[in-house]
Amino acid sequence: MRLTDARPGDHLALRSMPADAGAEGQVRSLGLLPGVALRLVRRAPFRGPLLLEVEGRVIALGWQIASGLEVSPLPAPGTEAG
Amino acid sequence: MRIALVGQPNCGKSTLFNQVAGYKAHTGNFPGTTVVYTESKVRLQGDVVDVVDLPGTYTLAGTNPAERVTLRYLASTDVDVIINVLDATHLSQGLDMTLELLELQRPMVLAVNLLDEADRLGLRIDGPRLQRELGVPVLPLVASKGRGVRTLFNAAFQAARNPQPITRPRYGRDVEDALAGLADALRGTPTPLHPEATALKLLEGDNELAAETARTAPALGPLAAQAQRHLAERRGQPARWVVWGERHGLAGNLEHLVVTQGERRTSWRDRLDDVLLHPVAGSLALALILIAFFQAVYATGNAVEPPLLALFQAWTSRLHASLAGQALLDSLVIGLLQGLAGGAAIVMPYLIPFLLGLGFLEDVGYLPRLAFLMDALMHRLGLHGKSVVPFILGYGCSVPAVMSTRILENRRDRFLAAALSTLIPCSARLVVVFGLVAAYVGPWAAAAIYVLNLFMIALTGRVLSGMMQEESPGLIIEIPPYRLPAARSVLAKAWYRVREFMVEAWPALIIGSLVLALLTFLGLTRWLDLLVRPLTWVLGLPAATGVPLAFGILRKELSLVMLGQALGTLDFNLVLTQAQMITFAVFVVFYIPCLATLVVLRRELGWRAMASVSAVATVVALVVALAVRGGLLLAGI
Repeated sequence: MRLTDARPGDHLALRSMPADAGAEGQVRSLGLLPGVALRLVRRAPFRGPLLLEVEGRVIALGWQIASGLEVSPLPAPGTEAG
Repeated sequence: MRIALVGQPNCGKSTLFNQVAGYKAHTGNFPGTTVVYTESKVRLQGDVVDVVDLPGTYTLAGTNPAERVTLRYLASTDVDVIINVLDATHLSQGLDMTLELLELQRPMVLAVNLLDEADRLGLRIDGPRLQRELGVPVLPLVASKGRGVRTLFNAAFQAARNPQPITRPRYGRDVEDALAGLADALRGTPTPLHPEATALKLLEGDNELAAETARTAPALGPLAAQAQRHLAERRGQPARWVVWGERHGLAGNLEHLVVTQGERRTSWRDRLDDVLLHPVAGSLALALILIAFFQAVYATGNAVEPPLLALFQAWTSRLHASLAGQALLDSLVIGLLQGLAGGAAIVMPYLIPFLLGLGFLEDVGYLPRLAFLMDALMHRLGLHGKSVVPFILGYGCSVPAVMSTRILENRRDRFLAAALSTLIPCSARLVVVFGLVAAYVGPWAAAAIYVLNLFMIALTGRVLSGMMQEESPGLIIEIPPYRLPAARSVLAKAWYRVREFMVEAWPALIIGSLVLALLTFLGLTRWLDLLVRPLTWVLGLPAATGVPLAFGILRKELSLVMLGQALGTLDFNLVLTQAQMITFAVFVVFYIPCLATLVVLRRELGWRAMASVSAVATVVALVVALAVRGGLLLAGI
């Protein structure tokens, strides 16, 4: 599914990168890579940006970019060991 | 000796720099780019060394000019040692770039910063272990409190004096095989980076580097393409994703080795975003924060401006009296004094509190949140959330507004943000709106001009972005944790920006005043009135308003001062109708940016952009002023 179809609180794994080379580089530099786990924190109304948590870092992605990203749901992590 | 500070945005690198830099620190551009660095001479172990604060970058992949420039600069012999600053609370992301830096195989020291914040989050970092794993010195740092700064620089000094061999990180077998093949082919040819680093960057698909190496080793291009294909076939994803993924994995493993998570203490900072990023509460808070911000700026400016102006007025009268009989000298000296007064008494009183407040909001971490909140709205102008910064700066002065468009990644966004932010009434235009319209027509009319201005900016934004087909990728930004700013860092940042105004814009302002004084002295202003007459006639303004309008290009607030001179009275009620005052003010708000802004536009975006911005502004000004004139006529005002 697309990232923009996810709901706040969802745990997801990233499956694709933006098609635009510049955007791909920017997204990657913030730690978003295929396979990386992320959590959708909140979404702004009116096709506003999405707030993601990726490995402890909070990132805002514009709706347009987010709508081009494929994600797959992950089970919500329980109390992690260690 | 030169020490370069490198790190990701928000890692506290600039705070560290400001702890050691003197007031003589200067900012500069890398040749041929708009990438800015700050440099300062620092006394260290009896020597004077240069410390360079490079722009914050997340990687060295070369996806933007700052990354490209940083990569080249660090690989060059200009730098003797790298201080890589890491954010202890996001260690794995920082280590991602550390691994890239190690690939360059240059002397390096690691500074693990924000240890106080890590402690609050219950994170324990095993520095000695990290040092063993990476093979470079690792030092603890709390830059905001100045803790560990001296030890860090001493270690860097040592690392530069006695360079130790650096081991680059090792990747998976297939990646290493591909690397070995490329590095072999590179043997004997001069490479911009260490041969292995060059090979790796080629594998990652760094186009610019590929083009450069192709010049000396033409066979390399096809070889690199083949290596990329091989790797992609084996791993089922593009070669660059493989390298990025492996590096990211290594960084993650390192973090697991050296970081232990203890008990996390939640604080107000963790909950603040529930309010400040909330669609309703957040927008309300945004409005309150901006109102408070602008109120504070205008209150300070208003309190400081009149006494300063009075002081300059007193000097002017005294000089005028003592220079009686030497008419030319008298005019020139007074022109000079007016130019000085324009900067010192009209711009500075607003600019300084504005920059202090902005630096505070920046260091607290509010600006990225502002970008998040404004993103949907800015999309309607064809821009994205980050461009809200030049817009806010524009209310202070267009010069820093245009400079701040550097934070935008692509040229289209930069041009659009620069063009629109120059339409925002800066503090000099505020003088015209308030001094003429608010004072003689009423505050509601002044407020209406501001609302009209916002509406026109939105409209212009839509039209311009519709004409520029190229798509902007949109908002991609990190939202850093809230931090209490270090006063030193806020002050230093404001000082750099004030100095930029003093160097870039103020001289233009003074020259403009001198030219004006000379023209007045030579009696050429009547001709100018005639030249501008078609415009003033269309707008229904007296012919004598031609000179103030023409010279408004030199300095916007001059329009008002000169209007008084040109019309022979400062009681505008006697010479202008209310409709004329409003039309005049509206035109002044929108038309060609002032000379200082034009200079900066040319430097930042080139001649063509400067000309286009001026043309857009003039067209908008004419259309709006005519519409306002017509509207007022119909309304019977």
